[in-house]
Amino acid sequence: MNIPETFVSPGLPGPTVTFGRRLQGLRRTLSVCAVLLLLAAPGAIAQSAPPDSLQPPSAVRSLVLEDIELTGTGRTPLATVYKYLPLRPGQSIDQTMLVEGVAELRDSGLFKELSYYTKPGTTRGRLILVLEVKDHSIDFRWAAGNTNLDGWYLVPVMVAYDNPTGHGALFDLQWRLGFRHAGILLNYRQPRAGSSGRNYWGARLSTISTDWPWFADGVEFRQEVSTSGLSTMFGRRYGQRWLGEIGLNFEGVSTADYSIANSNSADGTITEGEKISGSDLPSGIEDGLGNDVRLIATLDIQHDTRSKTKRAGTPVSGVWGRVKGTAIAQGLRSNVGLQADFRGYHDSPGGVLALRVRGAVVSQQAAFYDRLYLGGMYTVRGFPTNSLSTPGGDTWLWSSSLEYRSRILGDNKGTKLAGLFFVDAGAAGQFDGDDFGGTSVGAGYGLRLRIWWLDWIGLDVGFPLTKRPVDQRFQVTASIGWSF
Amino acid sequence: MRRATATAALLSLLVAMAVTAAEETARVTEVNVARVGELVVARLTTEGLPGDKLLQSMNSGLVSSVDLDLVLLDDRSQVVGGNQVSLHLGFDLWEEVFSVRRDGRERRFTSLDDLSFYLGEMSGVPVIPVSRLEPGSRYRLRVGLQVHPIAPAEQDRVEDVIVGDQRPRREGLDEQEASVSLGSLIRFFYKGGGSENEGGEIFSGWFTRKELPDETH
Repeated sequence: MNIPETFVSPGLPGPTVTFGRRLQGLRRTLSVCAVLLLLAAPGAIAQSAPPDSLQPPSAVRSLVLEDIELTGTGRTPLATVYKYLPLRPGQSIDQTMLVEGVAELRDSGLFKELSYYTKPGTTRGRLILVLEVKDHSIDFRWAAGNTNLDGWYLVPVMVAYDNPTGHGALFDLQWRLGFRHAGILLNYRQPRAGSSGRNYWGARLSTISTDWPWFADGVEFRQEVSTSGLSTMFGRRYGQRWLGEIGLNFEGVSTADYSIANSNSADGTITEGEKISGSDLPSGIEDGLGNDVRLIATLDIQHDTRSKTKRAGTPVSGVWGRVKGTAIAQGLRSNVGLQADFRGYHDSPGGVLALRVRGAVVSQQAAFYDRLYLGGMYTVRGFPTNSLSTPGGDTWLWSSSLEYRSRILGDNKGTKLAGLFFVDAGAAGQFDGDDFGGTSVGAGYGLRLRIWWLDWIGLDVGFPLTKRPVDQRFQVTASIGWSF
Repeated sequence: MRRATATAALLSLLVAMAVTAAEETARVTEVNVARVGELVVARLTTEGLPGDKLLQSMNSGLVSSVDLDLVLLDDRSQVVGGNQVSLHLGFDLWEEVFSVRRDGRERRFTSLDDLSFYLGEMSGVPVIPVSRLEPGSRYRLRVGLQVHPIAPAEQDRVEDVIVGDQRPRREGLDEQEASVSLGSLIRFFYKGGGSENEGGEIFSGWFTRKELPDETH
């Protein structure tokens, strides 16, 4: 069948019939446009729709969202949906707002499946959004992750039940098994609590064992630290940019009374797998041994102005910042700590420049597992994790990272493979000590690959540019996501 | 007012007709290939378009889309090339005219019958340059169809394979974790990449470069 580019069925009003009325409408529209253009010329130019945009015909005539209907769920009320969906009946709407609004609801994971369409409302120009959803059921999942403290882990089995009561809560029981890490965790999280959806809270019941790495004379040792307890947190979002969170954690902590060598010493006096204990342990480790019960309180304030527009998987502008204070009641090991973390992003030719600056202090009474350590993926790459600090940890630390990130391969969802170059620097020490080792610097390159469910996974190769605590010319680190 | 009432009645009638006639899933029922100049093109016969939800969304003033995924395979089932074609379907509430936009060109229809007829027989859908075909080799065309009652933004056209599978993450945590449903993972590998064409996929018959008929405009 061959249809002309403009085809109008006979018997119905054609273009010529409505020409006069159109001309009047056109004059009115032009007048309004001229006034608007004079008032906001730069903005108007910047926001003009591309020729192939998805605006409906006659976009100048606004559409109104008359109602929202929810079908397919027996337990989730519209009130819960409104905590995630930024659309309300009565508002003016266009296609982009509708698509983005529903995408926000979809990204929240409130429902297992979500599709939608619209239908005409009671009068012309009014429409009803129909959300067709399917609720979550009990789900067996598989997961992977990494933490600043414990490194990589896998979750071979996770039982998750999201939105079980229709109020948006997330619930899971998981068994973690990791590089230096094992544990069982029961998590409950309410990402949008309260009528406004600005609050969130969560609780975690966990028992976790970590092999804590420390270095002495070029040898890596592992010290087992186990914690079991209940942690809770409550947070509130203030506007689009601010977030405040308090946390309370009651736990028991216990350490093994020995450390195990994880590498051989150069002179052959220590072999991998050898146990050292008692007075052979460094004083910083020995002082932290034993069983304790403790209460941890945290206050966390975050500010986020990062752009939603991304290049090479990275915001093209904006900053993310955090100040976090910690107070730990643990007898003689009671301590307080403060850390500040700043991340900035700037669009650059061919990619994005990303900067991270971090500083932290902790009081002298802190046990080694509460102290600060330098070296590794999140401080100075090119050096093994914790290798740039004394065995018992430091009481002050700063580190900074500068990365240039650029797209290598892409698809219609954006960057698929990105490359990066980085330079990291940092230093750490003790307020009352004189063993400051100077500033350490590492540089290198990395790759980030976006895969369909893990989001970003990466590999960085770092080269130490300053004195090496271990005999290693480069260090490879793997990560989920970006280093910052 | 009278005109608005008449329009509403007409739209309701159209929707009612669509509900009864097109509840079935939209699908491609027949694929034929031809040659137009130096281009291999497809002629597609479809059923169920525009369908109830597309029509309702269009009638509420928004743009729907129909995505066609055309993949040319050789006799070892290796991908030779292909094309993705998107049709944007709209209805002007005030002009009461349907429109279909494809590759930046727009066609307009004043009746649903004309629109349905056009979507039922789509010809001249570009696939690949003829020069990409090896003389003597056999090929066939695989066509998938996906319908979006509300056309997604261009960057979101390939949606997450499993909707809702990513659990929301907390910002600012000192840990990063990603998880996937084991059921979804199994389905993903079973389906070979998670292709979710609504109406399934359909193949043309085998053909060689020489056998391509010329299609006249």
